[in-house]
Amino acid sequence: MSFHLALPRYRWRTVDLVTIAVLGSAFGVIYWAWNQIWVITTPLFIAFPPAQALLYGVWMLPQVIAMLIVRRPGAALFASMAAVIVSTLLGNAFGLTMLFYGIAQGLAVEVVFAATRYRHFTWPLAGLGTALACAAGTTLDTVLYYPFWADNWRLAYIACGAVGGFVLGSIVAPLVVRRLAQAGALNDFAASSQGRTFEGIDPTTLNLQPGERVLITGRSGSGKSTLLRGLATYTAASGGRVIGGVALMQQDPESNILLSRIGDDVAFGLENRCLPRAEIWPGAEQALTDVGLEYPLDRSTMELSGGEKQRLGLAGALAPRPPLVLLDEPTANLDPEGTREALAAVARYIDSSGATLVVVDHNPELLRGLVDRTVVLEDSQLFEVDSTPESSELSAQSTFRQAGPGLVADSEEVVLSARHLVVDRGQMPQRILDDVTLEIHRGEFVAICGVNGAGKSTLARALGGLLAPTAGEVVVAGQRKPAHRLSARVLASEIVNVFQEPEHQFLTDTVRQELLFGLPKSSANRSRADEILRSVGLDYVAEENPFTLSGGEKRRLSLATAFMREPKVLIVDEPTFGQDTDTWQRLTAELINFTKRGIAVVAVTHDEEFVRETGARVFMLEKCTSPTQTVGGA
Amino acid sequence: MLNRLNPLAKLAIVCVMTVAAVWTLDLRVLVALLILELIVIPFMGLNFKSVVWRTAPLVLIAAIVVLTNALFSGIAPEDPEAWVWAWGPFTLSAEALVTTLPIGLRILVLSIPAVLLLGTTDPTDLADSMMQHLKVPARYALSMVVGLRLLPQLRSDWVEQSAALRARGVDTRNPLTAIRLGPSRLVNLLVFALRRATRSATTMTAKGFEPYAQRTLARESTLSIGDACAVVVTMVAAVVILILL
Repeated sequence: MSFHLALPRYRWRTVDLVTIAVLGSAFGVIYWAWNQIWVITTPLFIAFPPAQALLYGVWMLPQVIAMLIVRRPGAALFASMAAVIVSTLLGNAFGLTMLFYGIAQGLAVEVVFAATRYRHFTWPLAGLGTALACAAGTTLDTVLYYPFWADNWRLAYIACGAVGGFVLGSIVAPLVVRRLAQAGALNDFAASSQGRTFEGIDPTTLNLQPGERVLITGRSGSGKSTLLRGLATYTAASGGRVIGGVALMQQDPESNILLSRIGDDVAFGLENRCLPRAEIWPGAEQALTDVGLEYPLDRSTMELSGGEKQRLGLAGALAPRPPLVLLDEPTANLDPEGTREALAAVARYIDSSGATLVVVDHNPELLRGLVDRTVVLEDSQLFEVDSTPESSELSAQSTFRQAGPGLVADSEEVVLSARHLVVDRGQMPQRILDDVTLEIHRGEFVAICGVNGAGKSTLARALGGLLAPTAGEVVVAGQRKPAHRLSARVLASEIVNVFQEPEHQFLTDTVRQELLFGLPKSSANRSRADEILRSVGLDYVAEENPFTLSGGEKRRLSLATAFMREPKVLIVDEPTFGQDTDTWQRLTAELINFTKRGIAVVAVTHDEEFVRETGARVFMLEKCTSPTQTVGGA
Repeated sequence: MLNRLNPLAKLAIVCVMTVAAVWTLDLRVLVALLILELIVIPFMGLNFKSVVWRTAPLVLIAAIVVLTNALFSGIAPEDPEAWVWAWGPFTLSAEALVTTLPIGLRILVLSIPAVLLLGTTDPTDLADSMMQHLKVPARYALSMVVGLRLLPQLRSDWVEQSAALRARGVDTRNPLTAIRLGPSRLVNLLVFALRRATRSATTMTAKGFEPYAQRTLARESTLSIGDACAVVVTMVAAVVILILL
């Protein structure tokens, strides 16, 4: 493979720095593990110890991969240092001498790419860089740790290092980079030329007026999030400082949090605005109070629940009091109560500051009163919606309501039962589920509801046989072993689990293969796959890499893989999150179809409309108590 | 207690011991340095169990490195009586082991303080301290801190991925399957990590972070007299040992 010519650019972008730091840190863990494995396996090479150096190249992967991705001077050195720092902080036997290695091995890679003035990023160069870095590392080894070896052993050791390094660096590193690019992880870099890229639309076409409150809707996959990110970086890059910055809330609550203490995280934006120290902490505390997050400032951000993370992200974004607020699907993934709280905090801020607001969402009802203009994004074009958002959305839904839920024949046959289920989790065990007993009948629709942190997803995992309960058991009808002890193959034929985070379930390189995974290769299956792809609206991306789909499309894909099978039970976590009305209807209909075929569907959901439409039996899960069983509908 | 020192002071102490350990391979000097460290351990403010847990692997690694050095040192007395062990062309003698013992001591002397002092340092504090006192540019220090926060998520990604595979009928406990799927699972983990990196970078940009712009620091990292004393005492002790012995 060949990489394209990249012009040298001598200044870092933020994304370069964070990418290298993450790459270096991730490999730092591998470094650390490799350090232990290396020394412990030394005796295995007793016949010819220098041969061990053939594997030395593993230590050079972060430098080379960082250089192939970022293509800027210093990328290898920074990655190398990041890796050794992490490895040292984790504690290894070589202490700070690791820093010598970090510098030497990083510089060795830099030297090779500098020789081409950072213009070429081909596999021979990657191999050469790795070989040189390995030679540097092994030389340091012989000086610091093998001083008593005879000279010929030392030379053999260094030579083996260089040879192994060339092979590893010229093959493995470019392959990894290619896979990353195909999965769309490198879209911000020159190395992504092979990936599927989005033509984002020009943020200026939105014609945003100061003080406006705009809702952007549109089909999932139409590029709404891309537009929002474009708006954020556009404003930030074109003198965002001058106009005072942007508050951006991305879909995944985790990605709005940067630092490990909540106080630091909120202070980050204030530091960037060069506020004096005396003003930062009161500002941060005020911002936390505004979103109703009353924790000490040194509380770890890891310990927050999903809803709390969302509010922390909001606090951090609003603390510098920016004149532009951008929200990406704020109503998704939160329980209705949490959504109302978060939106109320946004409304208070907007009202008090007169800031401009742009929201991307599918749920106009919850946003009524917050926005005053609605725009639909379709085929890379923006359309103004004259009528109020509610009317158009509702008319679509009411036609669906006429179709009605395919109400389920009540069946007494139990297909899955949980008895006295107790689940504790975490290092300091915390009770997530306490004595939950429930039975799922053939062909019935069950909705598991409850506030954030009530353990809905945990219950879904336990029911799905993916989690060993602390006490009690889950039994699939006709199986002797409890569900969590069934073999993976048997489990997958009885229960289909669809996760909340779809990405973890992707195993193949294209959308179509994803549907056919693990099924017999027959033309019937292939045509069924095509049919399902059409019905969930993914046929136009059938040959794409699953990772390159939009958030909503990924969810539909993971549901589509479930539609290929005929299990006893289908367990889905938040199936309707982030879907536009049209897709919402089709998904709901597909799920109801399942129950008509006698398959029980268990859905974890916050979506009250979804519960109404499916006529599901509702299990209300309260925090750490038995579920109170109520009968469906609101 | 030494673990309360400013991270920079800890780093300086570890630096001093590392330089001293790399300086010489004199057995007596290294033994003296090691004794000095062992005396200080009780004042580090760590409990006994965690000290043992952290240092035990170091002893093992030091022993293995001594062994390989001895094997390939070329020190092989003619008299088979002096051999401890022999296999094919390789012989191990007591003489060779004694000669190469200092290399094991070097590893212990430089790794014990690193593991006990740096291993107990919060990266956020270290970064704060480095930005303030060493003027390390925020772009490097902060991107490291942001990157490090993403690491624990890799572990939960792995767990999540295993559950997902099981849900799709793939038995990850089967070693053959594990090896076959290993590379693509690792690359997928990297995909998740780099995605998060991109999203974090977007958040940083939105929050007004620019790599080359001025910014203030919310927390003051203070270097106290105690920090200075600890570093100076370590330096003096190391120099005295190096000169006198």
